[in-house]
Amino acid sequence: MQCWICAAPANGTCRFCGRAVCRQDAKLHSFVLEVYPADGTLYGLAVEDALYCGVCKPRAEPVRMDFLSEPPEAVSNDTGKQ
Amino acid sequence: MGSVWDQVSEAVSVANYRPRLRADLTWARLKSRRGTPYTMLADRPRLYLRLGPHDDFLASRMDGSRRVSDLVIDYFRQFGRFGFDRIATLVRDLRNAGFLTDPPRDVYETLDRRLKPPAAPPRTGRWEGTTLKLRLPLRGIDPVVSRLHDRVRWIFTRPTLFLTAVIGVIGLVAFIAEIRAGHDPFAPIGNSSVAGLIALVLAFYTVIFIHESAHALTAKHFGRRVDEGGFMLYYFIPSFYVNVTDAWLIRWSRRVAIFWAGPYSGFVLAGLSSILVALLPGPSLLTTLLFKIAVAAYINNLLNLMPLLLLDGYWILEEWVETPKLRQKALEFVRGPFWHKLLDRKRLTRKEAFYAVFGSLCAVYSFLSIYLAFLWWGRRLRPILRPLWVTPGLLAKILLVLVVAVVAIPLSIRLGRQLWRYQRAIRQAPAAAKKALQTIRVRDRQRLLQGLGFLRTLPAASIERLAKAARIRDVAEGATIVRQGERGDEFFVIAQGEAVVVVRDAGEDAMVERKAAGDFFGERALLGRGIRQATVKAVTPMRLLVFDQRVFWTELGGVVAWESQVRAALQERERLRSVPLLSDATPRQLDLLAVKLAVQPFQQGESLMRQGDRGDAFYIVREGQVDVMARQNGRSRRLSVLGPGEYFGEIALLRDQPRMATVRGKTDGSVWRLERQDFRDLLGRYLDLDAQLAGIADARVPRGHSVAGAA
Repeated sequence: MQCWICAAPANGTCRFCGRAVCRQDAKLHSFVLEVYPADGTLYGLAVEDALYCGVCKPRAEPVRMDFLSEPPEAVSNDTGKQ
Repeated sequence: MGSVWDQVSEAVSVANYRPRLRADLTWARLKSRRGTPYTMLADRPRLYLRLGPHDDFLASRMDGSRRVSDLVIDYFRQFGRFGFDRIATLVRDLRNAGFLTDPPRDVYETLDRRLKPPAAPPRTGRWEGTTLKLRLPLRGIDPVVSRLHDRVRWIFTRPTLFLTAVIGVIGLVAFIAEIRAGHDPFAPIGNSSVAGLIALVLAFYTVIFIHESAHALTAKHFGRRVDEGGFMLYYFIPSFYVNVTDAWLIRWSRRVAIFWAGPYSGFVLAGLSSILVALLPGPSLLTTLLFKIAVAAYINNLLNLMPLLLLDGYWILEEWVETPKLRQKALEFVRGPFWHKLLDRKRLTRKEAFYAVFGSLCAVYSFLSIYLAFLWWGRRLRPILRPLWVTPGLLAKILLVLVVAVVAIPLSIRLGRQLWRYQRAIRQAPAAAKKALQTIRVRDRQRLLQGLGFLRTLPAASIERLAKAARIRDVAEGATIVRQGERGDEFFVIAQGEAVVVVRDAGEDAMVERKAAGDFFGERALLGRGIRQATVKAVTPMRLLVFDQRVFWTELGGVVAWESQVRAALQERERLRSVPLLSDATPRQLDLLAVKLAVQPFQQGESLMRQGDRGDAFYIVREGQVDVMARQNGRSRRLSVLGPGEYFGEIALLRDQPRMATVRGKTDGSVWRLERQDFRDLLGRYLDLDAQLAGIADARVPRGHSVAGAA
């Protein structure tokens, strides 16, 4: 795999988007592995120096996605076989 | 309703963000000295933002009902051009400034702070500001200033102002006469020179206090708030200050009046003192004190009216030349772009020449002020410290330690930090000097390379590497540079002069091409079997940049191979640049657009869009002409004919509404087509040019400035 930025051999992939990056072009970014509730609050398992390509744009603010809780439209899994 | 991914895409699109300005902000629409309109938007007394008319147009529409994409449309309708970066910058500025109802939030920054908490919590001392502008603020003084203003309102009447001006002029004449008569400003009091010095220092503080009070009262007279004042060490010199940032909300002439009020009070005070000195009989304690007040006031005025530090004279000059942040801009210019221009031997514009002179004077004056401050402190501390040290007994020594602890230690720590930073810069100086010399050497070659069209797409680092690797070769008129049939391992770029390319075919020489500055040759041998395919002769004296095979393959091979495509792309960009709609776009923005715009050819009579269809793209006419037709009352009517550079379909770009007209080719031609989604992507990209935008954002914010006196 080649680095997304300079096309040199890549050393890893961006934790956020999966782009491959070489050691020179790799950047570091904090990353939340998992969040769980406890004691009435939220706790997170975090990595402070996860690989980051510097190209993708991890949103610094949570994005409201209430449409995900809406009931799904009628979807058919019918493959046509009777 | 689209798929979940479509909805996610919509949810994260900044184009859908609905900015809403806070309702409690203060608006002031004003004009500069030359009549240029501008708007001040303030969250009093915290922050004041200056907006141009275009930004005002946008900000006044941020009521939460419009999305960013709607603002783009509104801006487009009003000004006839896309305002991507303007809108993006403005929304970001306003949000970061806390002017929008939803404050900015950065979960990663918060997470980083949790993961790596600072070693020590930030100090919350009473002192604020930087080493050179250390303040001990007193907040909430507005009611006091209001009460004081109510009592002395009469000083702003015309007769009083006239009378004070007369006192000032007569007093100045009297002062000059006293100085010429040999009146000593440092005269001792009761044979004590220390008492004389202390009296002069007290006179200084009296003058500065009156000076600052004059600023505050004048601001109040014009209905401004004066929320903060206090004690300040400005360039290590003790003084007072008042914050009159609220003056940004009134017209420029009143603002200048507020800045001028301080020096004017000094002028009147000095004048009155000088007149009394002239009228009162003989040298006495009173005349000595009055003369010291006059001296202190005139010196304070001189310091304050000097426009090189952030004092009254500077603020007046800034208003006069209508350049917010003049000092900062001038100093930044002197630090960087000025030297680049010198190295490139480029002419300075009038504004740049002004920045260069003003910035240099500011820098020199700043260092001089620090030096003078050290002298000032030395003179004042020595008479106190020395007697304490020689006085027998423990009490005097303890007093001395206390004085040193209170004054010298905090100052030394701050100065030490500053010096540590300078020391680091000095340590790195030899390497920096070496690098600068090298830069000068390769600069000329770099300039030549940057002028070559086909290398414009190369990143700056590659151009620099090429400049370092290139050899310069001068060729005499008539000389053969490469000969057909010989082996070749060099590639040439013409810096100056002209050459002809001659090909021998069937025993006859035929001139096939003429090459001039900016052209290149020799690539075919390198890309092929290493044999020259033609002979190149200089027809004028020439200067060539010569690259060997290794450099050619590492840096240039790909570029040359793709040269034809690059040329085509550049031509496309040039075409785009000529479109009035995009005349403000930077080359980078044009590149972004060029990638997204698809060229769509059309034939005479061919429909590009039909009335009533769902609109999902925007068009700019590239070549040829189109007819815009609309069907009304069952009859088709031609509304207009559009030619190159004109556009249609703009509203459909962002809104789901049917086409209002049918557009058909009047002749054969082509259009640039921008898809709705591509437009959104573009907008997103503009909103993410962080570093670039941060600079613009900073330049827009006039920081709360204060008016300070200096002793």
